[in-house]
Amino acid sequence: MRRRKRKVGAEETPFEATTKSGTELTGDTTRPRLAYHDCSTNYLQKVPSRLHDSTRPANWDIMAAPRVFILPATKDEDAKSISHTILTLKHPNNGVPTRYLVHHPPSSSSSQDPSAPFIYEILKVANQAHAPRSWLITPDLPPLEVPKSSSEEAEPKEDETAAPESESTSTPDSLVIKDAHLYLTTPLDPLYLLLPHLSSQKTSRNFLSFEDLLESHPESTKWSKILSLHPPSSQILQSRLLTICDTVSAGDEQMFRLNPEKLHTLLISRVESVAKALPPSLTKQISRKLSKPIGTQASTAWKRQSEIKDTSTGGGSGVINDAELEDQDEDTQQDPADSQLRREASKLNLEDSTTDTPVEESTEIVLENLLPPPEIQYLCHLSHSIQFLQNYLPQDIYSSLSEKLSTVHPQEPLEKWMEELKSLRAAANAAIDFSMSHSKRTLEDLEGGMSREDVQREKKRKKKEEDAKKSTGVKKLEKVDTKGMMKMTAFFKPKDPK
Amino acid sequence: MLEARLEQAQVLKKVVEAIKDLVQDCNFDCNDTGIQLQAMDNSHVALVSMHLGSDGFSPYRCDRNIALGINLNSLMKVLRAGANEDLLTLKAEDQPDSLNLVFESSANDRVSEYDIKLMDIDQEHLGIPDTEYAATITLPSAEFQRICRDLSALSESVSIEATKDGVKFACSGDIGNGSVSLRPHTNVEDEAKSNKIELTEPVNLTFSLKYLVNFCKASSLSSTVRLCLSNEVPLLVEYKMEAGYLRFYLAPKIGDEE
Repeated sequence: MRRRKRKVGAEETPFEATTKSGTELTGDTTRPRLAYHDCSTNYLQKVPSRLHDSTRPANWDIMAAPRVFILPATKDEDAKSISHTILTLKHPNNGVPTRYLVHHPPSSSSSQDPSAPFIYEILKVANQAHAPRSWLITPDLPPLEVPKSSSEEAEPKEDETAAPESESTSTPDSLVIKDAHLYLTTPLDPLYLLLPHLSSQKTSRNFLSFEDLLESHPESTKWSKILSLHPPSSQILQSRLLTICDTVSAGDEQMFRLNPEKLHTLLISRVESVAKALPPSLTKQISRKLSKPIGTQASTAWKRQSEIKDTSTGGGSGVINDAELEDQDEDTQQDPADSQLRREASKLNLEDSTTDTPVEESTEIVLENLLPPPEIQYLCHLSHSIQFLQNYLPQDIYSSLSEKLSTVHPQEPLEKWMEELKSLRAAANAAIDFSMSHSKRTLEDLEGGMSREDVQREKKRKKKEEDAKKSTGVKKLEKVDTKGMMKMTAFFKPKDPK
Repeated sequence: MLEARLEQAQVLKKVVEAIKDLVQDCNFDCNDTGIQLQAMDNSHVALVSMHLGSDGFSPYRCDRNIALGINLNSLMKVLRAGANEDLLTLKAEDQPDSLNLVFESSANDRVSEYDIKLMDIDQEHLGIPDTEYAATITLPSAEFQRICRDLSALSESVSIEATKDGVKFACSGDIGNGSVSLRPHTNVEDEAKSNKIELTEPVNLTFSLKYLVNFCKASSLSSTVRLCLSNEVPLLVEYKMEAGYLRFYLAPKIGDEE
């Protein structure tokens, strides 16, 4: 049933993830997964009951409108008691205060795995502004007489037919939520939150005990709150620290100091595992970017391609796309990573919908023999996955990491391939330009960045601006038929500028 | 530094009024001989050339050549703010980014001051050679305006045929055809109402009426207008001013027998 919900969303308009981050490694370093797969889907039906809960946290009063969260899994017996707190911590990458969810099941529950992740980041899957929708939340009804109604409980309201709507609104606990964003919580390795502090000048020189470490942290009060909310977290944090720190024992206390070597080893292993586990939606896109142009003989395919492009989501998925090529440069900062994530998130929705989506169609153009050797593809995957990590790392650590990574995995083959690709594409572009010169479509349209409508709109806007400056007389004169009249320059020659 | 004072704001007002429908933006080139302007319309088939001599101003001071790139529509907006009889002073720095206009009304001691932002306009200057025209026709500007207006109701283009007997403006269009013929004639009482034709050889050329109608907006500048024609050379329509001229050039229509 939940699967169905997601598919509905995907078939209509793909959601767009607008938060800065998309994927995060869990404590388990071997299998990075994407947000959607990661979260234990539970609780869509739990949210409304919580809304009516009289013991709800004070935050709920501030948030005037209810919102839909997908929360970490909780054992059924714990679900009744609130076990989540939202805390604001500085984002490790940019220091912007960001909200994190602390998941702290009541200590009574013995079944709780003590090493389970306890800090979750909150991702907002945004509703697209041009396709307004809302949530309809109803209790988890058993599939009954009207078979359709219960299976579409979370479907946007506009898609509801009259019958199920009337039925569900008559149910006492159902609820329509205007804010159609979906908030996902995904586990976050607390190391990332500690890293900026660990690597700071002050702390990186001396061995510090765990308590001192947290005490000296600029947000120490928040951390002590986390520890008090979730006592096992102290244990988890220390064990996580072991992986990146040198330690000395002072009595029965362990002292920690950041070891950059260890940190890099850990991070590189994460980059590698992300690179190996990129979702097919993303790898397809990467291979499309890496594939050689198919050449002029396929100019009809090109045409089709660009048509497809207009209908596809980002408008930026053309085969020839230098703007996207640049995205792959590691040095490009947040924005490429951001858009990458967004694209990925939207593709993710498409992924499990049926095969006849535009994206699927366009990938068939990527021919196997046009692809680079697997090593090069892997290098490119690495450079993509490091961008995911970049979102969680302080700038200096990121730059040293990317340096390190390029020594472990030399980038030259990829660079060489890109060079080659660039020249091939330039040639193909020139050929297309030539073969399409009779059609209205211009090279820029193919090159992406701006979709054709954008270009036209831009032109229109410019023309309007120009027109505003012209007097009516000038405009009238422009319409005059000047056939058979020679230009003034044919009679009078330009004077040499004095 | 430019400082030029016009006794009557209407001189500039009429000039700008006449050309603002032909060109959008243009450079006013200021030097010690006065203020010049040369610009083509968007289609480059017509050219306007203006000269306001320094003796038309009192005082006139221009130390250095200055090009004032102005949107004529904007200039017209400001000029409309002044009365015809106002004293108009133009001021600009050596490297100006705006032109300062001051209107002074002697009648009621009213002073109004405006600044217009200037723009950089890349215009090529065409050298216009002195031409011996085959036919030079001088007629009252109101008469020429009327002919153009009347004929433009019938057709897009007019043929101007100058012979020793007179000049014939003829056109034919969808609804029919028409012509106006003028014979040389001297009005003893008012020189400006005479028709004069100087002819070295007969000419017959066709021109776009829309453009001619446009040129006629300068009629208020002068009571007479001079038309100069030669085969395969642009028509010159000249309005003389007290201290200068406003000249329009228009390419003839060739091989268009519609």
